[in-house]
Amino acid sequence: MRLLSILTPAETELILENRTASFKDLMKLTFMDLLLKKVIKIVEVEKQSHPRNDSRVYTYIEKGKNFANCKPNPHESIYTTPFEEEDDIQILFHHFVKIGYEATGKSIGYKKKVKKTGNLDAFLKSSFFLNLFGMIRLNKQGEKTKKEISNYLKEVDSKINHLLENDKEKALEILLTIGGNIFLLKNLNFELLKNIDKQLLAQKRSESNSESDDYGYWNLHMDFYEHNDLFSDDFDNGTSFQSYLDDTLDSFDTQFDASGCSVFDSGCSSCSGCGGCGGCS
Amino acid sequence: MTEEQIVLWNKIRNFEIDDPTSSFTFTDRLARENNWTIEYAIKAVFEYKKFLFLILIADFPLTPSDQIDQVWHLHLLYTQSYWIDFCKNTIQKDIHHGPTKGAEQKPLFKDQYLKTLEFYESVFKKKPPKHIWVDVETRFKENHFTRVNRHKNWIFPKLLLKRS
Repeated sequence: MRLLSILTPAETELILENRTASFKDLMKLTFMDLLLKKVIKIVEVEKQSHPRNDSRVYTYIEKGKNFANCKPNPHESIYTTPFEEEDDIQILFHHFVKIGYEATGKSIGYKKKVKKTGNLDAFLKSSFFLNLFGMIRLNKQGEKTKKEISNYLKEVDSKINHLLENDKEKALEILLTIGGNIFLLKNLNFELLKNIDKQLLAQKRSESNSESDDYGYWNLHMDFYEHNDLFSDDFDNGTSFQSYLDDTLDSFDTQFDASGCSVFDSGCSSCSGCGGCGGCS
Repeated sequence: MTEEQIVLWNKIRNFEIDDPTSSFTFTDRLARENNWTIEYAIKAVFEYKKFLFLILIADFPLTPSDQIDQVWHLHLLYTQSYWIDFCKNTIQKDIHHGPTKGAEQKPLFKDQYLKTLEFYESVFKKKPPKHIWVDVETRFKENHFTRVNRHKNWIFPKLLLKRS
């Protein structure tokens, strides 16, 4: 389905779920898609401030190898702007998610950003009030497209694992076509992605390079399948990583939604105690 | 940068002030106390690390921007992190913070601040980001802070009336 090679997963989710699309899911899909395209990457670092101290594992986000090649959409730029000034900067995963929340405000703000790409214009109703309140309503074309996407994803979902084991070429073609929308598949076994034939991938890459610009988007995803280390080590598969991401997003969801204000205003200024100040030298 | 300086810079760059097990980290507190976004606070911490590195390799005194000074003040409150983890275990040197002794030192600090900006550029081969390293006039003019309890007070910005 050609449309899915153009739409980011957040855009697809907005068509599929429109008014009920959750802020958390849209943010998560965008984050995962950027990881997939290697625009950003996850780095796990074990640090020990002193040999006598216990070591700790820190999870950071930093620029990925495709950062420079990516022209981020408005809803993606919340995750890319922190890296624009500094090549070297690493951001704790915990803070990175918080940056996303701060940059988007609330659900309506983020949905507006997703709409800004213009890719959804043909599928959404537009009026002064809908725009003012950031409401998402599908038009006739949108309803039809929603059905088509939904049916296509269901079909892919039902056969993708079988194809990954028995018809790798067909499976790869489908996966490359839907790009980051793989995160909308419910049954995909991420472990099977590691079996993708690298020769097939090289062949696809050379085909795409000789074709039109439409395939430029593919290249970013091909990088993922070539070096599929996104879910390595602690995140041994996509599902466990997604649950880790879910937990973090949930914790912020609670903080940001509680009483309609941020946890940072909750006014905790207490000190865990000290031995008194003896002045400075 | 010399090889030795690169090693030192990497040590400082990789030093983590935040405790990943804490739900309210150093950076969270920094952002809250200064009314900064998390993104801005993260950038300020990164520039603070650069400033500490410059202190270690310079043979003359340096002056930070106010933003970096705020990071420094807060880090000094995290005594274990500052004195033990950073000074003792990471750089094996004590870096003391020297507050101003009065208005008579203003010209000296202005001069030091300008030298710091120049030194930054010569070491990192790029201009210091203006939103953290403001120009010298702004640094020493727009700097009048008071601790305000926001539970009891509202804060309104002064109107900016430009003279034609």
